[in-house]
Amino acid sequence: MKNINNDSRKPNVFKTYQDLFFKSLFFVSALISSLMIIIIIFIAQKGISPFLSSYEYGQQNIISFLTGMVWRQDQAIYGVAFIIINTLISGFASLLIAFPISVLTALFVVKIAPKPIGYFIESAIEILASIPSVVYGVFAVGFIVPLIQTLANIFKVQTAGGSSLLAVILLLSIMILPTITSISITAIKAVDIDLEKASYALGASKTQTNFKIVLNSAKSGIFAGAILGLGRAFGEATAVSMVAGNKMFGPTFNLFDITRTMTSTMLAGLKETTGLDYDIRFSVGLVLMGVILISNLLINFVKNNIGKNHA
Amino acid sequence: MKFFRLMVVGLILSLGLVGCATTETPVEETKSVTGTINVYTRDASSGTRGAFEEFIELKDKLTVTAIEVTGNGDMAVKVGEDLNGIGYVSLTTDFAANGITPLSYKGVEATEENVINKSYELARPFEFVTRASGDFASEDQELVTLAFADFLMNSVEGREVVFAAGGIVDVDAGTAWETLKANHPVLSKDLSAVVLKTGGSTSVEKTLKAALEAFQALTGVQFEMNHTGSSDGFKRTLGSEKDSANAVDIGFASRYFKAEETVNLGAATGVYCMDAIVVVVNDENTLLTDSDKELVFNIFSGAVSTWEEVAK
Repeated sequence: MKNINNDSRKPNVFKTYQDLFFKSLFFVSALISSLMIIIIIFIAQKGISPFLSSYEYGQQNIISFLTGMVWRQDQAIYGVAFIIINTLISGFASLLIAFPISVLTALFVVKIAPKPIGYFIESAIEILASIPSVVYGVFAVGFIVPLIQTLANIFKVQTAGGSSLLAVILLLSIMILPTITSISITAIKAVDIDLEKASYALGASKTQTNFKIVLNSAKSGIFAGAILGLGRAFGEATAVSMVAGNKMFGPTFNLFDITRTMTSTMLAGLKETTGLDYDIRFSVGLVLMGVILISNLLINFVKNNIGKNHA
Repeated sequence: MKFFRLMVVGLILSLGLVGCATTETPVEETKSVTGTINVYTRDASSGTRGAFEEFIELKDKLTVTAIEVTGNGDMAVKVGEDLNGIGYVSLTTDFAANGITPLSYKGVEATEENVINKSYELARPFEFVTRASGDFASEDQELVTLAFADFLMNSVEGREVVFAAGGIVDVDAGTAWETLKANHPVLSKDLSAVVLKTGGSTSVEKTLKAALEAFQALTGVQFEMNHTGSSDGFKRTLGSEKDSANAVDIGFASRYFKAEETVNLGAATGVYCMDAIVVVVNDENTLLTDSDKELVFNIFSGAVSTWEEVAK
């Protein structure tokens, strides 16, 4: 330790190189991540191509594509408007179901449950979050769909054997629940304990503290969970197409009627198709990306305006 | 704690309600089929749908209310769950296990014999095509591919396993492999390093795998199956993807090759077995047992939309 000033030149050179090395390593990593923009460029180029006059299978009308209420590959009618509405309905309805349950579960796990129970629930939720979507799809076909058929019989409405908008919503709620919950748990755990202590010191009850202090402080993280959950709901293809029924026109507002989402549209028969029917799926993908972007902005807007009176 | 007690009480109460719901309003067991017909179809790029729509001249005329399913098994499950459903599956489907009843067509029952003797009309071919002569990875690869094509098409042994796997073919009309083998001297070599690559229709997979395994047992040739859909059968042997990483030695289609798919360029091509499409309804639907082109067309085009109209 004494010689550190005398011998400092050599290690310094080494350190300079070390810094330089890591600096370039970070730069290369950042470059690779930002190169992912190529994916967007590729999808955009492929998705826009059917609407250009130079398109090899005949130019498509972008207005009728965006406002169309019928999607029939066999007649080459591609209208995406009702699919957008269907996707929004199923996505937000499942968020509406899953979000409150998730947040309250997270609050319970972190703040209320005894340690072993909380730990057990948290592990269970983490396992649920990592189950592949096709497994959820099989579950939906085997359990949710017959359940809805029974329900429909009780209410005396006719369904397509249980495949319905309701089945999609229930399935998506179950699928996004663990995602939102596990992120909410992390967010609630990160809340500064001093804030809670201050709240108790001011005479607030445990429930008051949990709702007004803890949830409000964890707001950012919880809404990040909601965005990820909604992203999963919008992006889920495999499981949804197993229970949606893929209606050719719409939009669908009846819970017991079949529906069609953007992802199930992109997936159905993708591997067997060519030409326009193949390329137009990229256009649907582009629209889906737009829908997700707008939805995320909307959630951010809600986040920034919620609980303002407490902050 | 009060809150929790309340919640527990609420839970018990709601459970009680659920109990009431199931005991007081039992699900009615209706045997007669009434109400709208739920038409099930495959997605527009499915080979089965293509064949079905060709058979009954339904192209572009399918009712807009049809429900799209994701595959043959999915179709069987969905119609089996829906009393009001009607759909179409391949003959190799297990009807009883899925709770569906096959309809006869023009009074002819959908059986293997009737498909081979061509009296059952809703049938389609399983076709194959190889790469062009001289366009294989090696000369041995080409000779082995042609030997397999011969085995698949003409040998009794090949036809037997294809038949056992659900393909419809006249086994007795084949030639013994011992005789055919003489035409393929390449088979006397050590072929354990040769890998036969197949692709195309997914419908052929079951029958093809059986044939490939039988061929492997006889010759020691390895195989690799990568099936994605009928249109890739031509594409990956002679078409746009013939030199890509997806390229295969033999491509398959579960339909007749189209005119623009120039399969005569391939070293060998042909139909190795037939597959039949069967219109199916739910097990409990006793209204319909026979069908014909007009009835099937009317139902699938939406001209007839309720079971009452069918009953008339």
